[in-house]
Amino acid sequence: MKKAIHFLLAIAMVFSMAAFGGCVNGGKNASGDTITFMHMWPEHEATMNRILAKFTEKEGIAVKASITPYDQMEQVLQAAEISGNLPNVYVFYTHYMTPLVSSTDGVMAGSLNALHEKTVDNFVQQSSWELGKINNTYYSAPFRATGELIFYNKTMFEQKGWTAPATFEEMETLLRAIAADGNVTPLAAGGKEHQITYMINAMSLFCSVLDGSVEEPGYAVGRLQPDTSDNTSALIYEKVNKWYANNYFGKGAIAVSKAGAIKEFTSRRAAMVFANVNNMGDVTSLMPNDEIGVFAIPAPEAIANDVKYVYGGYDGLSYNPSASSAQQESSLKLIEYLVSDEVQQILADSTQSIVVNKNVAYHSQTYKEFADEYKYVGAYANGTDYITGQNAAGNVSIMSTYISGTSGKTAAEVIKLINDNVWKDMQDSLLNNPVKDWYPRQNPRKQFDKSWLA
Amino acid sequence: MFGIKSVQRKANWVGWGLMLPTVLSILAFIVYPVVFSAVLSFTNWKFVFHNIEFVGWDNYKWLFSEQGMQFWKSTLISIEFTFISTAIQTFLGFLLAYVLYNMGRRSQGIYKVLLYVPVLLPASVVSVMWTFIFEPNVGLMDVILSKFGVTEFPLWLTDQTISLGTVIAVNTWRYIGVTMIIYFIAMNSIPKDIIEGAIIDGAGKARILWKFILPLTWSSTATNLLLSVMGGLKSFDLFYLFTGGTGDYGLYVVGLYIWRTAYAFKTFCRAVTMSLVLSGVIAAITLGMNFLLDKQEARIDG
Repeated sequence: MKKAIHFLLAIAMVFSMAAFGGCVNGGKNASGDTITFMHMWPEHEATMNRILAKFTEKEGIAVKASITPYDQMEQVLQAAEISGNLPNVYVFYTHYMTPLVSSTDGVMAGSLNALHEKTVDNFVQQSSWELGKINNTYYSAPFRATGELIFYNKTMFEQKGWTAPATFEEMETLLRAIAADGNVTPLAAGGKEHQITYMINAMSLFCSVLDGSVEEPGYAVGRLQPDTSDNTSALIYEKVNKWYANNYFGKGAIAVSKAGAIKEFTSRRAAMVFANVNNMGDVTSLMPNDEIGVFAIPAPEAIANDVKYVYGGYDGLSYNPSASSAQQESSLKLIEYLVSDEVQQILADSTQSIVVNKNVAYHSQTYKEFADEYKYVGAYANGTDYITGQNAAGNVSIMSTYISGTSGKTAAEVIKLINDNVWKDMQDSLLNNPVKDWYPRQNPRKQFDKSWLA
Repeated sequence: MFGIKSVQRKANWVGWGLMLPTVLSILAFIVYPVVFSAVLSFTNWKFVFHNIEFVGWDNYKWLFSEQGMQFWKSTLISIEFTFISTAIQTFLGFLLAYVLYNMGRRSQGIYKVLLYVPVLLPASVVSVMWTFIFEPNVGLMDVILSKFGVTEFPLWLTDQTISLGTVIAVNTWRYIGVTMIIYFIAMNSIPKDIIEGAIIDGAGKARILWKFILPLTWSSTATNLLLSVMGGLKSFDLFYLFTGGTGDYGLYVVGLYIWRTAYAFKTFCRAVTMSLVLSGVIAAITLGMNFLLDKQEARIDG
């Protein structure tokens, strides 16, 4: 039977190779001076080609670039690996490397530990690397940040006498004031795409910083044992549920799409909205008479200067570990070049990207503001050492349903359900072999003032 | 001089030669994927072909265990969607075809095109259009309802109690043109003298519809039902697009669940196992329906 499987797999590979031979231009050659590179930015093709030409000029290594749409990257990489045509260097999400590495036993990405050591000091957010770290190996070099901030209408704020909040407490006061004003939605959110759950994520992060959880080894691998005797998580859930009931996110926000929330904002029916940097162009073009500002979800006063929350991650760079050693060397040179001061500055100047390099200067005030807030993307990030599947996949909608008050469950019940779902996936031996379990807390929780959660 | 046998042998070779492309195509594009999927369902294939091992019946056991229950729940949602959708589509499609059948030629031309246009629209266009229509507060549906004094609007796609009904409505709107056209063609193929004879004998419109048009278009009913049921059980695109691929809010149909099992959870071996089992379920339902429809047709003919 085993022979039969291998025979059929071999046939499958021949078919797949034939199919994908034309997709990714096989640039491997014996000398190792030509490598392939796959990225997902058709909108920046000219800039990328310019950067790659400079790299070739500098290092004498030719690069054959191909572009795959961001929503097809995974499937194309899968097919490319099966057919033996995995690009030498490819772009994939740093924050999504765990499933790609774990489910393939690491054959699709090589170690970037040496590069991490060499370049990490140049990164705005050094812990961004942790998102692509699995079992002490870094598999993805963060390249540019992506994340959702709160956009606010500065003009409207000035007219109404509101100010952008610097602390979580101020944010709650602001939401209350805008709701009391009665004319606009305080913070439009695409609840249908679970944007309201960002508030739970944010508060959970702040509590993890305050109670010292972020220093736990279990936190670092994303499976710190839940403490059923502690009610902090329940307080967080209840607070967001209360905000929803107060219409802070707008009426029926659970069913609103991201596009619908932005529409509310651009039509001046919302004072703030969750949106990404790439929405900025559309938003400003639709609101020519309004000035737009951005901020990340601020932390409670006690840690407001240290941390903020941005829902996001990074487009990262990985390389093919099964290529020849010469190509691996060339691949690493290319990755190092792409995160260098020179390239990152080109990207900041020529594209609307917020890059990872701290030595980059932004010439536009708007993008400078973005960069200031995006430095929190991946703050206190962890590199989970397990993958989740069908059980945990439903967790975010369980959260949303609770927030909107339609789950019929208490916060404690919802939290238990969510944790149980994660545990079930950790115990699934097909996903995680060997199976994983919660990591017990090593130190007692630090006490902190929870008045902001009340 | 050629003997009959040698001519026959030659003809056989020519016949086999002509069949060869078809046979090879069937082997490559139907037999090979099915056999290959069947083999993979006995392995632990996750994402790429690395460290792949034979695991016996594990994937099938998983599917029938508590962990695999979501597959059956999703199958039930698909069946519910399929049968409600098919019933509404067939009934309305027949009515529209009948209305069209009784119209003048010029009107027929216009309405045929209008009702068939949604069939031609890509699923992405349909979903974007209807997402805007169902958008809370600012969507067309809520705006219209507010004109009638409604202040509490249903959450069309996120309220689990009505979301499936919403998708059924959109699906019916999208495919009713196909049902209608099939019925319309069948109605037009009924010999005019039969209808004229019935009119001369004093039959009213309702009687003609019930006693002549309905039985004489029965084969179209069977075609419509089978097409709709098979399409419904495999439905994926609208659910994927309306939920952003998550299947939230009661819209986790089996096609979407299989897709997520493969691509989101990276457990391809389970996904192929589910696909094979689902094929069996669809085949059983379709064959069962075919049997009942054939029986009914025989009764009508008899």
